[in-house]
Amino acid sequence: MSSKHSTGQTATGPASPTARHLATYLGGPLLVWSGPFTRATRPERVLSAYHLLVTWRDPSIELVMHGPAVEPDVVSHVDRFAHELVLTKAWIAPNPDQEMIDAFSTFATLVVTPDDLPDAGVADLADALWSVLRT
Amino acid sequence: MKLLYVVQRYGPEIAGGAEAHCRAFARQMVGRGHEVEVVTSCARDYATWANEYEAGDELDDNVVVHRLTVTGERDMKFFAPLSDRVLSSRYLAPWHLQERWLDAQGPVLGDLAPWLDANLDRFDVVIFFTYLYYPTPVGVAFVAGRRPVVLHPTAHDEPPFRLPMFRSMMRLVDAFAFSTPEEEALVRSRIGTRPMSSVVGVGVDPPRPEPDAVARAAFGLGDRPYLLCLGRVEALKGSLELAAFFAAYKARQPGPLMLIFAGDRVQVPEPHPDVVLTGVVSDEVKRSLLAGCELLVAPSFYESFSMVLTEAWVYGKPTLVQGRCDVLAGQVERTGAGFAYKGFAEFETALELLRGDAALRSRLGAAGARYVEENYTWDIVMERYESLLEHAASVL
Repeated sequence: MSSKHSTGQTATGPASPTARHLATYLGGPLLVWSGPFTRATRPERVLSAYHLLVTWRDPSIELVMHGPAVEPDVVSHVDRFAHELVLTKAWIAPNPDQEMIDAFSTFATLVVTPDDLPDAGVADLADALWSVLRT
Repeated sequence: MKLLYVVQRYGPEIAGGAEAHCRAFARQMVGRGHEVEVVTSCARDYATWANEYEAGDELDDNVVVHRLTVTGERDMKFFAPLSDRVLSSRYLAPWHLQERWLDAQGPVLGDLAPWLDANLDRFDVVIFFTYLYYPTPVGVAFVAGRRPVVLHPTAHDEPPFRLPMFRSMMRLVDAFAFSTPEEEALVRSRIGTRPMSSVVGVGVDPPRPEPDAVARAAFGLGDRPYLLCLGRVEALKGSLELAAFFAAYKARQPGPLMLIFAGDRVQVPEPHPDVVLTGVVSDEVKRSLLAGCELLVAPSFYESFSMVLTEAWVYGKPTLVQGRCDVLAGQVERTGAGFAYKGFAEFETALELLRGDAALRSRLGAAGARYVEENYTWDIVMERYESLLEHAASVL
């Protein structure tokens, strides 16, 4: 995991639509998951942990999940799961272009990859993420 | 009968519609020889549910009131974001999220279920007021099947009413006491069944006219004519729309006419030289304002029953009401005591008509007074209500 504090400035310049969007609408800490959408990387686990965070810890946390859609049905599954949990501040972004990746990275409070995450239950994973995001 | 009322707040200082409604019924039932107790919270403010009353038992006009400590006040950090997720989303929120929202809304009474468990057997019927707040869904689930449950939903068509959590709760209710036929139709359409029910209404006390000079002196009104709007001043109550309509009307029809908002100032409309916001007023001043007004305006978008309309009719005043609220429009249509407006054009036309014809105002006001006399005196209301409770008491 790598944590950083957003400056609100964009590395990609004023022409970047994603940076402009985040600069305008981002209202809290931004958790960014970056990795391929596959069964093996278990992105739905991060989504569940994020649900616990915004429901019980801090409702202002926002989430971006981006990476190559290696297994497209996994993207669909994650997207549907986000809708079922009414996670209105979760942005599922398969196959982002470089401009988006740069903007996500710039505005992120915490960036995680599948390899960073402990092989733990969802509640423990949420606690681990919260211990970084709360600071 | 031995009756238990369950309500989120209770007390003479509570101005909220459903709570005042509950207290009026409880006191009326005591007056008719029933034994009445109330279990409620220590909260006075519905926005925070902060514990302000002392926990424990007290007597209010021969009603035994049991106050429980609020163990979860309104969680402001979560309430608005959860409301966005649960009420404003295109997707149906999962059950656990609806429950989380209910807790965040409050008032959470951690001792409610244990209190009911220890005391339930003493009562013939348990009566809940307002479908919306924590004590009702939690209490109904606990009481259903053990004692007859009656609910005054005080429902209107608002986003929370559409939550499946409330539909499930209402299906556990043995009998409903509705305020209007519109509320009855709304609830029946939502729960999909036709349980025992009665359109009971809400009773009105006989008029105790107060000279209008009291209010005129208090707010510096002189002898100018004025429209009166009673109740909380906020957008959902239509107050801001009314203020904007009135300002537009005055720009087109200059003159001495004023608009008086008498009620809690939750939101403040654009300042206007002919608009007065009095804040909360005493009963005496309210009656004085009613006595002196040309007509009463009820601009709210959400009502399950308008007590201020019946109060105005008792005083023989005509009424102008929000046509986008089925309940208000229905009340006025049944009485023939005024007009409903949708938008500025209808507001202006109706106001012009009423202002220009004193005889018409007098006829409409008299029609309202007659309707109340025939349908909403407390004796008439309580006969309907006692009959419903007796039927409900026989279900278990």
